[in-house]
Amino acid sequence: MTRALLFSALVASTVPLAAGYLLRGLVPGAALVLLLGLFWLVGIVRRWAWVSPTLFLLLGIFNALVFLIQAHAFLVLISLPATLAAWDLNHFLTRLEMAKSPDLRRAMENNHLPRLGLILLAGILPAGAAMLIHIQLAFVLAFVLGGIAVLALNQVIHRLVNREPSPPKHSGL
Amino acid sequence: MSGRAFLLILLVVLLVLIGLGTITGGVIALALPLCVYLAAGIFFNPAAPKLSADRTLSTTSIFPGTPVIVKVSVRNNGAAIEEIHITDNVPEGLEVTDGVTEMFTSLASGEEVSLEYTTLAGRGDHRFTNLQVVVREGFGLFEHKLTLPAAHRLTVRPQPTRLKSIRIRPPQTRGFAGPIPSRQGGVGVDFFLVREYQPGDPQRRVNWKVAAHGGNELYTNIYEQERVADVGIILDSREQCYGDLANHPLFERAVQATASLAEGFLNEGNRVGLLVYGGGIDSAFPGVGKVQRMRILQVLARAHTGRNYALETLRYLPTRFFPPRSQVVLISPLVHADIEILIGLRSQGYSVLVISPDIVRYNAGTVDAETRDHRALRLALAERALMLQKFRRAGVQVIDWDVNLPFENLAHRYAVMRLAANQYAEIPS
Repeated sequence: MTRALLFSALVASTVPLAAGYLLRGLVPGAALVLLLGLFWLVGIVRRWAWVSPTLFLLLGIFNALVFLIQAHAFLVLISLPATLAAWDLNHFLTRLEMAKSPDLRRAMENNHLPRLGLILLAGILPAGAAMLIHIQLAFVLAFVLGGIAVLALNQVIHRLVNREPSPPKHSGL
Repeated sequence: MSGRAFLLILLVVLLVLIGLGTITGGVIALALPLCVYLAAGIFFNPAAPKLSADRTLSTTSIFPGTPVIVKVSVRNNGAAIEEIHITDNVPEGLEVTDGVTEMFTSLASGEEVSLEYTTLAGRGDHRFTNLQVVVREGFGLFEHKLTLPAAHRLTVRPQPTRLKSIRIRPPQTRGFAGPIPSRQGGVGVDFFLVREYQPGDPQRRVNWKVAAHGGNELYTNIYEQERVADVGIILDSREQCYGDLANHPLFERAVQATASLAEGFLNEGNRVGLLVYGGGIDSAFPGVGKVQRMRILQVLARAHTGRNYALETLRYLPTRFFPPRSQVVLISPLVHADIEILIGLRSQGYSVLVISPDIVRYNAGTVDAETRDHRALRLALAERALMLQKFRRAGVQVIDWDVNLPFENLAHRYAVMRLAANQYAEIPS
């Protein structure tokens, strides 16, 4: 189940993105995206742990670029969440393989997959809304808002780092 | 926070920066699904887990080759954990033959899971330490790494073989009957001397042949008393004696031989002590009986070769450890610098027996016969023979042990052959 979903997510991640580049006449870009998708597939088969995070980052940037070249927003709205899903499922699959019991595997899948679906939906909806609703902002205002966003992110990261528990004390031998 | 969370945040920041740089709100909007995913990770991030671990071993003191079942239980004393990855650190020298040493599972509050595996271990004092535990939320963005204490100890003692004890003749024996000639007249088996008859001597002890030659005088046969003795065994664990090689296979043979020797001497009723001298000093104070046997085997289980610059020579051998004029048995491949020290021991009144595993022949045996430099081997053997000769001339009994022969064979030969203090101790061909 997870494996099938992972391959589907990879297709959903790369095909709309390649289509976006193709529609703008950028054949090499489309070919590159498809090649990256294939490489990700090879990485899954060969169990190269570094492939998934690297391609997640690259395809995320490619999504931003395809949006910038005025491709259809719908394509990006499918591609980026699918990339996120592929990255998540790739990692989930490795954890799933560590679970020896089939019951545990089933329980993990039943727990994780619906949750992931809901989260992706919850992400796509506001993103789609934000793309459809156009508000014209002055550069300065946009810059200030961006700055606030960066600061907020910084705060979130800071809080997360502080949330990490201190290592437990244990008696040595 | 795991590397995954960092990567996600990095991509969010990149998208926001690209959006800001190009003044394209859509690109910033693209970061929203990622932010929702991150928020979900934060929401499901478990609180600091409260776990406890316990380890049980089917047995804690064994001989090599005995399987040991290790059971490790982890109990969750806190909130439910979605994903937990438990890894047990198996000590070096242990081979897992059955079962698993790691587990990936979920753990409800108050639930307990167990890891169970079977191991085989070689000689040694193996210490189980901690369990490595990683607790994650479902997205793998945040994780808590814990080390749970679950210490335990497994002692694998060398298996002593039953062998006839090597004949020794220390200058002084103890007061109890045993197998060692005590150089004192009394009740025994071997003839010791003839003295003038004294009233009360049993008639069957009268030496009638001597009496016939001596006129009217009667003479009585006196036999040599046989007693138990104090035996101090020294196992040399200096790394330089074993070609500067840590855990040289020859050392294992030396340990095995020490165990068998100690067992033999103890079975005869002697008081036996053990000193392991090399990387440090480990010892079992002289004693008798089964408890002492156990103590000696425990010390031998811990023995390993080591380098200690303070103990490079036998100069700091704690001789007070052994009772005066007792028997000292040294098991060592020997180095030239030991000659003076062993001569010193002899001069202090100890009877010294050296069992020297032949490291030259052993090392030569590990090299292919065609590539072996025969002249170098001959030179090394001659050098070793010369060194052993010096020991013998100093009155030290030396048994040159070709390790291709089992120690039992060697011990059997020397159990039959009485070894005089300054007599050559070559194996009869």
